[in-house]
Amino acid sequence: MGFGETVAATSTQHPEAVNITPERWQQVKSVLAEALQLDTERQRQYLDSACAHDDDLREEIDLLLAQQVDTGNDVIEECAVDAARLRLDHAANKVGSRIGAYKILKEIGHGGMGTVYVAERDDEHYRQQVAIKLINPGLGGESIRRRFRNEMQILADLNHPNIARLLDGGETADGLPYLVMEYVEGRPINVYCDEQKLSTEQRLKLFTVVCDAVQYAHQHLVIHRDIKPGNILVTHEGSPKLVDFGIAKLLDQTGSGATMTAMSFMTPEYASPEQVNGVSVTTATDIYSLGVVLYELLSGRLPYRLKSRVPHELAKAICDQEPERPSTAIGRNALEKTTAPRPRLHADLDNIVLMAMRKEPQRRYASAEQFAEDIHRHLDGRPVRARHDTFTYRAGKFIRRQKIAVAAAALVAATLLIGIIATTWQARVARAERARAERRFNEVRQLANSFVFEVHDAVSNLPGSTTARSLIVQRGLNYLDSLARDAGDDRGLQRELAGAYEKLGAVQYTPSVAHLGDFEGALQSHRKAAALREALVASDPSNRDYRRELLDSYWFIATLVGAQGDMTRELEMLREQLPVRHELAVSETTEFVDRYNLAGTYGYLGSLLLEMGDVKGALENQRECLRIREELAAIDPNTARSRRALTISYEYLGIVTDRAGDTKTALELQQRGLAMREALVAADPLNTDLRLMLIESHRFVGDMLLKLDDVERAAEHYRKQLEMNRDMVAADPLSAQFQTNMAVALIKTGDIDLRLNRAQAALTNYNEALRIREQLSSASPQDRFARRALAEVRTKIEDVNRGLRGKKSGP
Amino acid sequence: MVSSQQGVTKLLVAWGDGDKAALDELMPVVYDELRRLAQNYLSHERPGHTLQTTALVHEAYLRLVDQKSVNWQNRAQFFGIAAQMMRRILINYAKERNAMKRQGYATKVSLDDAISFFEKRELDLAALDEALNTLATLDPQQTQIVELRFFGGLTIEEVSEVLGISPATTKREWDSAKLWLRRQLSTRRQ
Repeated sequence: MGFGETVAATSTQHPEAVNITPERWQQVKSVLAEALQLDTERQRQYLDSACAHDDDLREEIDLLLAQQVDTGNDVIEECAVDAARLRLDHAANKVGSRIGAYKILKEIGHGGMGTVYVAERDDEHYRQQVAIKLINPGLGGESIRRRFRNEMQILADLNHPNIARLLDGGETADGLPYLVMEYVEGRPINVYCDEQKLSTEQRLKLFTVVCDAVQYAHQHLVIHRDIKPGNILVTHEGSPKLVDFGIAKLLDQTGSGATMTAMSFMTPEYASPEQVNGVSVTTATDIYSLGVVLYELLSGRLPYRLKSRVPHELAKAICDQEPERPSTAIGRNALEKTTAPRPRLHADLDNIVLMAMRKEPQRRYASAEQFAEDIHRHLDGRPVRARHDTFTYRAGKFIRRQKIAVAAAALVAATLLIGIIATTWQARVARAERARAERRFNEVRQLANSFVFEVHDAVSNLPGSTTARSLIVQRGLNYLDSLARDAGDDRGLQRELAGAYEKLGAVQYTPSVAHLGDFEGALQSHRKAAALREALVASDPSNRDYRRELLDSYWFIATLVGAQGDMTRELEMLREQLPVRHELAVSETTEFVDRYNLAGTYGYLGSLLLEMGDVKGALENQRECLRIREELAAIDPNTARSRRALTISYEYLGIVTDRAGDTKTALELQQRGLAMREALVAADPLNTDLRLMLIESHRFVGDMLLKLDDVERAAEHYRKQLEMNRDMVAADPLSAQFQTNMAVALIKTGDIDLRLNRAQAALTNYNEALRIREQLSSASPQDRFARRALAEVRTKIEDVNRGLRGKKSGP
Repeated sequence: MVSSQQGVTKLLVAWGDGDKAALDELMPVVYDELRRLAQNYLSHERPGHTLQTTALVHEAYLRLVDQKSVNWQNRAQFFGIAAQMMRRILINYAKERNAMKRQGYATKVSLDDAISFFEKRELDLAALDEALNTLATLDPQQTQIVELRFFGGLTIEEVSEVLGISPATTKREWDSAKLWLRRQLSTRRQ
């Protein structure tokens, strides 16, 4: 059979099957694509308007829409995904292909869960080697993917020099989830220690660094779940790095874990009793695995003789068998193998290792920090906390003491905010304020039990973090109020309480960052903080921190007063701050905090003046702000911080410049900001704050272009902005801030539609924005921004409708 | 007729650089190689061995193209052609098989596995082919997207590379093509 015949075969037409023309199909397709973006109700509304005078079109679309099936039943999609997977699996060598923005360089690992590659991000802004895990997708549906994304966000926030960072991730368009991690070139910690012939003391020191990293992750609510030497790599510089933090859980959520048991997932030698029993995993699980790693580092062998890998036998050994003391194990090891003889281990080290490895999670070290502390005590020759686990009365006493520590430590892990208080509380125990501490302890414990677990579960199971944060605020407030009542004249505690109130207030309501939309609550929290801080400044007027923090409280209150409608008062309050801000800024040395604050105050005053109609005043203030920030960019070694600040100045100065009539210069400023923000996002792709800022930049550049009649380029930026917004809302549908931005994006897109004479499309966008803004406004009725925004979109809709009516009734 | 690896690679690069004639030379080479590979599989059938058309495409690539001399676009383009060719091989085979079945022959050849890849999902290959032919008259690009995905095993991103359109557009086109195909296939079944 020749080649020509087969080609001819496909070009055979089947006219009887074609009931529409290519032109008609294009029309059907574009309406269909739009409709597919909308939920059922909006879809109906959209179709009602889009097919208003074309019943055939509507029928055609309805027939096609009726073909939609659930993700799990989409055989056509499955065929395509399977085909891709077969090809990718077959590809022994995927080098050269791309995943997202990354180019695969070589394969470095292959396992049941997927394949690990070294890849390179290679764009104009950024060049970096990374490790990419491409995960074999399981049976997961949309909700599992959403959880995967949430979990990923939590992991992305881990930023510690000894933890390999999660840089990026998501799924390919085919739904294969992937993770982009910092690529660590190093040796497993046990191999490294042996190769470098490290002494016991050096091993211990290296190990405490690992503990610090684990502690950090625990404070961020992340449990590793698979700590083993292979996941603790030591670099050429001798710095240990934990890899795959929290990945076990993440993978579990994609459904890839569905086909395997939790055990086959873990490396059995390092698995804790609760893991092999399938009981819930806590931070104590990591402590256990750390204990096994230390056991191995010190003795050169593993604690249990595992005869088989049959799950229930493994579980039995891990749960019932008492590990030999590491010091004894060494002796035998020296006989068995001809490794270099090691000095006999101190009995303290035995106790430390075995304490970390206790069968009952609550009897281990309460935190990785305590674990490390005890090692430091040993290194310093001080008595260690770990005791040989023999006498029951001792154990009993110990458990009682430990319970307190467990509660407090669990609290530390819950949030930074509450953590501060818990630390204070522990210090007070040391000061032997017994009676009060006892009562406080009960509060802490109550909080630890309900709060930690509720919050943790909420964070890991809900579609967005907003609900979880609401819960934190509620619980946090109750707790802070009770503490404030008897803070007495303890300055340290007062200051920490004020800080905690401020954080709560910021979460409750802060214009322009993610918040919960609780306006009244926020004002109250900031007033409580201010009252505490006023008392502190009065008690010690020379303290810079007290003064700065009081200004912060006033700032928050001023912005809230302003948001409520009294802008004149807000302006006054902020101007009153300037002398003190200046004074603090000029006497500043290293941290630049006060200079950033000073710049911020000018910038904010500028925006306020602009809103009040004083363009000239606004320009002056924004220029002063930019001047200070440019200065900072030259001296602050933290370039991410200084650039972020600069982009804010470009944005605001751009806005004012445009208002002053110079749109061209304004466009240049906005474009400068956009470029800088793109680079910032490229360097830190999961940073919500930066992404929000980039979205803003697209909007402003779009605005300026539109104003300069470059409709097409403007539309490009608006599209980009709407796309980014939809991603944000999809990841966290309950966030008021994302919803707010979404409404703006829809309106801008609607405006463009109008410019291009697509009134119906504009109306669809405006209506979607209207629904969002109605919700937002009813959630916080006092917010004048929300009210005004609602009115704005209503006006737009009326205008369009009037225009449409005008057309219909016109000649 | 070119057959060497260098020859194919050169044609591929030339086509990538805009030389349309190179494609005409390239297609028969790819087609023959794929068919040869398929035949090879058919005659060396091992029990339990599943022939995967997409794997075949990949193998053809490894055989025909000097990977050091091509860039990603060339590679994607190769898969583009191969996918189209694979579709033809598979359809021709399916027709042949049905004819043999009608005549009472037992069929035991291994491309069955490739076909069952579709059939186990109740996708009738002949019907799919017909539907794709119809779609080609309405929207050739959409047809190509489906081909690349089904028969070439390309991902959305890779399809975008081959066709030089954005992944978002590819996804949109793919989504509507899917609905169209599903309707076409379900009407046929009735």
